[in-house]
Parts: sequence; C-alpha cells; structure tokens
Amino acid sequence: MADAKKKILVADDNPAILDALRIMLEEEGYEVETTVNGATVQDMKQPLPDLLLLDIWMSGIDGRDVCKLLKGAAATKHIPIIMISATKDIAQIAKDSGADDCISKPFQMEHLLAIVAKYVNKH
Amino acid sequence: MVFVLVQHLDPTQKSLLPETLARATSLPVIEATDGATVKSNYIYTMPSESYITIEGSVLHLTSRKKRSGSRNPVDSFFQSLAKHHGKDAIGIVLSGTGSDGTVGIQAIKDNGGRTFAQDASAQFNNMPKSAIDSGSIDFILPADGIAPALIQINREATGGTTKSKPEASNIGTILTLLKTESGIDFLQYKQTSVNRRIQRRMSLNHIGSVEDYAEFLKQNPIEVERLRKDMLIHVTSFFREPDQFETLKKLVFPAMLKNRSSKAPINVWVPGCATGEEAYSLAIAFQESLGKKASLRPTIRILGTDIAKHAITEAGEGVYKEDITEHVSPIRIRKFFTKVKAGYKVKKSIRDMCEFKVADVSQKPPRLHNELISCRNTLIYLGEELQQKALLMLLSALEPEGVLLLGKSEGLGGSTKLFFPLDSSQRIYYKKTLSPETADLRKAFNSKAYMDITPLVSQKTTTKPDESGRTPRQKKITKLKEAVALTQDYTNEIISELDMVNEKLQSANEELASNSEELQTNNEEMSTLSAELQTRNEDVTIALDYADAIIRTVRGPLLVLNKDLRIISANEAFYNAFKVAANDTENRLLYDLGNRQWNIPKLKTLLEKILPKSNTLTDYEVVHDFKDIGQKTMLLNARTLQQGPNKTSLILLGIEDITERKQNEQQKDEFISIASHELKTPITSVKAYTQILGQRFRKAGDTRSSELVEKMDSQLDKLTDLIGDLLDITMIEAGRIRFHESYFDFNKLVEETVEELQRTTEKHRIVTELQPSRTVYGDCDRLGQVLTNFMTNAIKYSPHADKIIVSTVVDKDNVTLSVQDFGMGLSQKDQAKVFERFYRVGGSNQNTYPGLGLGLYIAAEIIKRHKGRVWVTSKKAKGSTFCFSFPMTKQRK
Repeated sequence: MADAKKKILVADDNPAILDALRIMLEEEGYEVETTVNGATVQDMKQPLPDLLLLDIWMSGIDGRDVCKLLKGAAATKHIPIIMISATKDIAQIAKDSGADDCISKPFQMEHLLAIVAKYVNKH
Repeated sequence: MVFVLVQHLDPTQKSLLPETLARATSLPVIEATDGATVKSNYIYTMPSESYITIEGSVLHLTSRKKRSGSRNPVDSFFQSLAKHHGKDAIGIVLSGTGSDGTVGIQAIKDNGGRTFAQDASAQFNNMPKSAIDSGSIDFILPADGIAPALIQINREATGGTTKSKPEASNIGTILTLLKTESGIDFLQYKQTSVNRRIQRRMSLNHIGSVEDYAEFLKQNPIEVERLRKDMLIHVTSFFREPDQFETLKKLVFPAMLKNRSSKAPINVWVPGCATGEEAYSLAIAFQESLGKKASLRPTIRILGTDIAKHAITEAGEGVYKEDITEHVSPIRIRKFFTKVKAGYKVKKSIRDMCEFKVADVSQKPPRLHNELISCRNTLIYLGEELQQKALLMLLSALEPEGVLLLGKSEGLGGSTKLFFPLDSSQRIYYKKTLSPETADLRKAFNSKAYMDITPLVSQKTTTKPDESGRTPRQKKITKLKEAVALTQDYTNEIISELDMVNEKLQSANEELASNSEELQTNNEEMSTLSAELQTRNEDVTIALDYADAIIRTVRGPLLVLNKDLRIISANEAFYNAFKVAANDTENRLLYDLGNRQWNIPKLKTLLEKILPKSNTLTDYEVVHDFKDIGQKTMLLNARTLQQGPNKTSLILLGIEDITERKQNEQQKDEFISIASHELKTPITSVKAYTQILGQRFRKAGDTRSSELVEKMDSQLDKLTDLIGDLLDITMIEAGRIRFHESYFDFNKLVEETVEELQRTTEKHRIVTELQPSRTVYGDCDRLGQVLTNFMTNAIKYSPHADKIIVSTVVDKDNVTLSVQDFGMGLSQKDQAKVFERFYRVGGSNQNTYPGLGLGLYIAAEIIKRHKGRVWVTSKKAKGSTFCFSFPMTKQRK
C-alpha cells in the first residue's frame, strides 16, 4: 500500500494566509486542514495531524499556551509543532513553549516547505 | 558710665574732636550742647568756644569769651562733677601742660570720688605731675591701664561678672598675629596710629570689642592680611610740598652735579615710597634740572623701597589715575607721561631711572652710598625708638655730604646732632662728617654753642702780678673765662630747653600730619564703601526679583521644601495642577498635603534616601493614583541647595506631569506594533500566492510569466523590509528590542551577506578583503542586518560605479568592518547627520533616494548595543566608506 498522505493542520487567524497555505501544501502533496479557531487546535480530535503549523497571535488565544498544552499531553506530545509569527524574535519564544521550530511571516515558500518536510517525517 | 572730655582748645577754631574720636571708639561721641541730658556709654566733648560744667545729669555750657577769671576748664568741670556726683565722680588727669585740673581733682577726692592721673608715659607731664604732687591721686597708670581700671569700677558698681582680658593684652595678641603674618613688629610703630587702624578694621567688620576682634583675626588669616595692609597705607602724591622740590633743584642738585665725571652714577634712595609717586617726582625734577645737557648727564639711579609689597608692585607699573593732573602740571604730563586707558603711565625715560624693591626702612639699607635720601612722611608712623633707629640707618646709607630730605612735619629728633641743616624749614639736611675739612657751606651753620673768644683773650693788658701771684691781666682772663663759661652753660641750657620744646612740637606736628593723612584715606574709602553697598543692595534686590519671577513663570509645578520636608513655597502651576490652595500648602508637611495624596512610598524613598546622598535627582518617574485628579505619571527632578549665610538646607522639587505624554507614547507603540503585524499579514498571503504562481508558471514552462511573478515577489520583499525597519524603530525607542547573542564566525556572516547582496546587483562587483576569521560574540542576525544595510546603501548610492569593497581589520580587542563605495559621496553636513533618525540624503534635482531614513539609525543602535561604534568617511563625488567596529569578546555589562 502507498504511504498515506501526511496530514497538516494549519491554525492562523487570517483566512487569506490559510488559503495560500492550503494551496501551497496541497500542491506539494499534503492533506491540509485549516482553522482560525484556537480552541479547535486545543481540543484536537482524531485522527491527529502529522504536523501542526501554529500562529502565535490568534484572537482569543495565545499560541504559546496551546503549544505548551499539546506538548504536555501524552496523546499529542509527539506531534511536531512549527510556530509562525510576524516578528523575528520568536525563536526563543517558540523554544520556550516547546515548539520544534519556527518561521516568520512573510515566509519564503521554499523555506516553509523545507521545514515542513523536515519535521513531518519525524514521528 | 558717662564720659566727658575736657580739653584745652583754641576757642576760635571748631573742634574736630568728635569725628576724630569716633574712629577710635565704638561708643557714640557727640559734642556737648547746653542743657543736654547725658546718656550712659556716651562720650561728650567740649565745644571749643565754651566752658563745660555738669549739674546732675545735665550739661551746661558757658561762653569762654564772656567768662573772666579762671582759665582752667578742667578744674571748672571737675569741681562741678565733685559737687553733684560725690562718690560716683571719677576724675582722670591726662597729658597736658600747666596745672589745670589739680584743684578740681582735690575737690573730687574730698567728695569721695576716685581719681586717676596718667603716668610718665604722658607726652606733656605737667598736668598729671601737678595733680599727683597734690597727693589727691588714687591711681597713677598709663593710658591703656586706666581703661581696664574703669571697667573694673563699673563692674563693681553694677555687680557684673564679665570676664574680659585687659585691652593691652588683646592688642598684644593682635600685634603678634601681624608679626607672624608679615614679619613686621608693629609694636615699634606709633601706637596711636596702630590703635586707630585696629579700631577702624573692627568697625568695618562690625566687631565691638578688641577681644572679639583678636579672636576673629585668629580664625581669619585674610583679615590679618587686610589689617596689615591697612597699617601700611600711605597717602602719597606727585610733587608733594612743591617748594621742597624747588629748593632741591635750586640748592642741592647744582652742588651734586658740579665737578663730577659723567660715568659715576648718582644714587638716590626713597624709603617709604609707597606707590611710587615720590620716586617718579624726583626723577622728573632731576630731568628738568639736567635739561638739555644730555651728553654731560650722569646716570641717576633712584631706588624706591617700601615695606608694603602691594604698593611696590603698583609703583613698578607706573600707572596712575587721571586725577594726578591736580598735582602735575600739563607741561609735565605732556613731557613725562603717556595717556593710557586707566589714566597716565610714566614714560620710559622716567621709568628707567627708577627701581623698586620691598624693604624695611628700620633695617639694614638695601643700598649704601646714596647722595640723596628722600624719606618723607614715613618716619612719622614709627615709634620713637624705631624712628631713631631708622634715622641711623639712613645716615649710614648716605655718602659723606649726602643730603637727607624729610617731610615738612618731621624732624631729626635725637639725631639732630648728626646732621647739618641746609634749609631746616624745608627739612633739607647734610650729613655731618667727623673730618676736620669743613666745606664753605657748613661753616656758616656751625653749632651755636661754640663761641670764639680768642679775640677777647688776645687783648693786651698790663703784665704786673699782684698779691695772689697773679697779674691783673691774669685775673681778668680768669674772670672772663668764668663769665664765658657761665654764658656758655646758660646758652646750652636754653638750647636744650628749646630742643625739648621743639621735639614735643614736632611730635604733635607728626601726629597731626598722620591724622590728616588717615582722614584723607578714610574719606576716600568711605565713599567707595558706600558706593559698593549701594551696588550690592541693588544686586540683591535684582537677584531676588529675578528668582521670584523665574519661579512664578515656570510652567511646571515647583516646590521649595526645607530639610524636614515642610513646604516653604509653591508656585501657581503647582496649585493648579494638583488642585490645592496656597494656604493649605505652605508650611504643611509634604506628606500631609491634600488628604495625604503625596504620601507616596516611591517619593519618600526619593526624598529621604536618594536625595541626601547625591544632592540632585534627575527624571525620576513616579506613578500614583491621586484622589482628585486620577492616576498620573510624574517626572520628578530634585535638587538640594544651601541658602544664605547660615547655609540652610533647601530642597527644590520640580514636578512634571507626563501622564499624557506617556499615554501618547504607549498608544504610538501599540499602533506601530499592530500596524506592522497587520501590514505583514496581507503581504504574507500575497507573497505566498505569488510564489505559488511562480512555481506553476515554471512547471508550465512559461518563463516570461514566471519572471514577472519573480519581480512581484522582489517588490514584496522590499515592502517587508520597510515594515521591518518600522518595527525595529518602535522597539528601539521603547527599549524593547531584544538581542540574541551567541558565538559565531564573523567572516562567515560577512561572506554570506555579500553573496546574498551580490545577487541583487549585476552592475556592481562586491569585493572582499577580510583578515583571518575570528569568532565573535554578538547577535548574528542583527549584525547581519547592519551589514546588509551598509551594502544596500553602497549599491543604492553608487548607481554609476561598478565596485564595492568590503574589508575587515582585526586588532587585539575589536573587529572593524568597512564598506566602501565609489558613488556620490556625502557632504560634511550630511556626514554629521547621516546616522540620525529619519535623515535622508538628497540627490540631485530635489530627488531623494527611496527609504524611510531609518536604516542607518537602526544600524547605529545595534552596534551601540554591541558596545561598538559606527562612523563614515566620505568625499563628495568620490565615494563613502561606512565602518563599524565592536569588541569581539563578551562585554561585561
């Protein structure tokens, strides 16, 4: 049987970004689910994604807290989390929250795809 | 105690006694008026045209013209005093001629009063002696012993127990201090003059007692210096007593100049020359005498000396005020002076004749073999013993037949025998020598006591001897000899009497002369003082008004507190800003103001802990919720200052309400942050779409379209950069910019950045000249940002060049990086400002290059945070080199 497509969950409060990312990732061969709602991320339902792209500033919810939560729960701690933010200084914040890596907006497509590829296979 | 002074005065002359005495005492001195009631601790003097008596507490005056009979004013007063005051009367007989006072003193004694007489130190002994001989004197004392005795009597009378040292020993202390400071023993000077000067300085310093003044001097060395200078004040002027100069020119100079070779100089000494007028006057007189005989002119060397150093310095300058025209004729001014800003300066021809040194006239002379010594109005200040000593010094410094010139009121005193008067009324004397060769001049002035009796004895008489074995002739001779001897004795006696009287008159004369000199000085000083006081008063008023105006107009609230934090004053702005009233504020403790709204812990720390240590506090921020006005952020500036003579401590507290400012800042920060984020969001999706499109075009082989899309992408990157700069600026300003430091390879960073930027320009070639690689400690990303900025600028501002050079220099501690371009360069003005925020350099034709003007500012801030520095060197049209350097190792904060 061929490998199933990897599933990526993208969380960002901007619909346009979600749309662009969906196109980008689907064209690369991933299965993409998007949400603007932080709560959805927190209460992740099965099947769990293979990678989470998480925006730090989301309305109503702090991306860092979500990350910490997920990384702290047995069920979800294996999921690689890439944090996205508008500022350059996020590397430390990301690390502090337990994220695996981070990327800043606006990003280069190549760079994003490379990072996703790197982490999505690590299970 | 009431003091009445009765003197023998010339009834036709108004007495100056009150003014003269006033300077010697702090007690008020007034001239008695008929019917005046006496007051305690006042001194009353007798008017010259009246007799004075006392009845109870009232003084009576009777005209001297009308009164016949007794001409003894002292007796007259003593008797009335004895009659009305009995045991309380104190009679003091001081120096005077005649026997006035003896009868009166007996009356006082008879009525139970106390009596004093001056001892042998009195200048004119007759009056005291007569009183003493009458047996009615209780105490025989010198003048400065009488005063303490009176104090003692007063103390017994009032039962007081003030312990004060006798005046004499206080003066002694003062003179010792002076001697230590200057080396001059003022005890040798005329004590009346010394005392007067001391009294003067006392009154200038508002000190009432000599004891207190002695203490004051001990604590204030500057006052000792002032006192010393005061003691040595001499009044002098050009051509003082002009007739003496004329006599010199007529009688003395011709003799000096006759029969001498032009090689030998004439030495002239002017001791006590003060500020030099005397010496220069003599120089001018000599010049006038020598006149046109230039070639035959001998050298004249005038040496001016004085014990006062400051006077000698002035003499050396040779500059005098305009008012010397009062003493110097216009012809002399024209011939011998040059007009200068401060007045007149002596010409070189005169100045070169004179030399000035500090010297004491009573010590070994600074130069011997003088042919002329002019020492006028110097000796009068010395005590008798010192005067004689000085005269002997002068004598020793004179050549045989040398001339001594003294002041009009001076005399030779005991040294009369050592000089021949040439013109005694002009005080010109010749040195007497012991050599038998007498000059023609001198014969005429030989001692009067010597009489030539040889003619008498040579008369022929009979030679027959008589019973006693002597001839009548021999008898006659013996008789004649006796008669002559008697006459001689008698004459000698008269002469010595006359001499004595002369001396005494001389002393009195000297006294008067020094008095009048001092009066002159005092007058001048009084008017200067009063002018100064006036100015100072005005200054003080102006200063106060000024300070007041400042405080009132200062827009910010201002408080003045004393060191207990009680409010001394507050300004209008304070009342308005904090809604308190003046009467609620002044004199209250700061913490109690307006419902204790100022009882702020942080403020307390400020005022009680920080301020006492460092005296000033700058820009201290305090946030507080005020009951009436809400929450405010305040910027405090405080300073302690000392005010007034007692150095009272004050605290000046300036309060600036920066609440609004802070709010604005906060809003601004928030806005920019949000704006950056909001701007980046659409760009993110647009860029993503653009890149997706690009990929699709490439996959489809549509290179033209994919190129277009790449250009779009590139512009989006530029936009992102601009936004990035904006964000950086905000963070820098707010101090929120964070650095992530680590160890990294600097050269690697440079090479990577160069590679990246090379991709952006085809025209330029970026060349690197890097010294060997080093590991440095810093924020790699941020330093990369600086490099990018420098290189981007280099490319941007050299559109017509083709090369950019990037080089590094590594020394022991720092690494320096330079980026050189060959473009338009920067003017001096631009160089100075190029690192400033928002500064954009203009191109030609009013063009400006694109950008926000933030890049270099941010670069500078980043380097600054790395404890490094940035700079630029440039030449217009040739190019610029932008450099930064920073320490390679981790810097301790």
